[in-house]
Amino acid sequence: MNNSNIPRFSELLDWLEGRLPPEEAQVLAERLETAEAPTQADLDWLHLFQQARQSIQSASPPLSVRATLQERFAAYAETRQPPGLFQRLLAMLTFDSRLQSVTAGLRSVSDDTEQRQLIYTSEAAEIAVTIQPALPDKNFTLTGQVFPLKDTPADAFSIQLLREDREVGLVAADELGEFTFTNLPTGEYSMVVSAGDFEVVIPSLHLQS
Amino acid sequence: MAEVDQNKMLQSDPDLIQACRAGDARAWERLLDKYERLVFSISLNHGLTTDDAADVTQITFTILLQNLDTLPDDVRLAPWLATVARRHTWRFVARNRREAVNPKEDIAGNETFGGTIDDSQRWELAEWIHYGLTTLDERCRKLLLALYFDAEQPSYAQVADHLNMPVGSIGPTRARCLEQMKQNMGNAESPAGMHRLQHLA
Repeated sequence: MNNSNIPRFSELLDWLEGRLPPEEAQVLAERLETAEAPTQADLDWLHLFQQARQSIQSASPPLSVRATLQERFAAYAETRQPPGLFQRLLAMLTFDSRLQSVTAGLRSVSDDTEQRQLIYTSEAAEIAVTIQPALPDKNFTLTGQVFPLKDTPADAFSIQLLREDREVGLVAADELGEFTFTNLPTGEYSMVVSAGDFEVVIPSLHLQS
Repeated sequence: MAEVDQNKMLQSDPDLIQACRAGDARAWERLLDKYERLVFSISLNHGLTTDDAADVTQITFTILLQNLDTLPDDVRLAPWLATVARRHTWRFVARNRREAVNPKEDIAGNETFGGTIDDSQRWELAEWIHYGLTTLDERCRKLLLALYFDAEQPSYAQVADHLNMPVGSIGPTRARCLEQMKQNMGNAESPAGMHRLQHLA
């Protein structure tokens, strides 16, 4: 229940801060002469608050403090990151020069009697492979180029060549993503192209005279 | 710069702590926005220089970072931070006194505030005010700090713009916040020299 004779806290505050119109301030001052205990307690508290505000200030720290605390949090946050998930992607053969007519651009070679060009596609990269048949009684040369589809730089890739699940070669792609394996005998190969937390698998590469 | 929709920006301390534990840098920024000024002001108002107060602020939040995983889920950060800040402020004050060339020099005073009351009374006032501010929600705390403790003495219009509040609501809201602060402080002991302070008015 509101008792209109008891000044509200907000009225007391406005009066102390000189925000009341003169007539209202005068009326309130007269009422406060006979103020009861709760009102006097409010006044005492507000007086103390006014004292405090005159001798205390608030400020923001220098920007360097925030910068340091951001760095420290960044170091803390690094320890909170969950381990990345390793992705193993299966590449799909999307072009075989022996099966396709020559219509594509630089990746395709019109001479399909000596070289065979293959293009494999995955979520992470496209891989172009050229199999150069060797002279009689000579082995094959396999050249290729990795075309990343994400932010991974081309030279971040390593290429592992396997024959019957045994590694026969491991090379790093150059800055253009190019790589070469030489002196490869006839047979079934597989290739794993990897970088960072993913690898692309070409399950079958047939080198045959 | 006006803040966009304060209500959506506000997050509880438990929410912020949980997000920080997950490595969310935005939550950490939000937490610093909420309490950095309070922590810095505690040290400043206890007589430290700006540099020392900055060090205490850095120490306080670093300690928070170190204890993030062990804080209770229902912790209220304002009083927690204030306690840590005070503890380290006292250490700086004690260190400064030990290092004083002239023991009679007033190392702990007082370029930061004027007035006629002595250091111990100012200390008590600072403790009292900062305790009261830690009992308030963020909105009230920011409003009272801006209106009553900002050395630049911004106008109602400037405060309204900064806090994204209607100018007309500043007056009534400040009164509600102060009344809330008084109620929250309840039976908290007023500064020992309360009556002496009043006589100085």
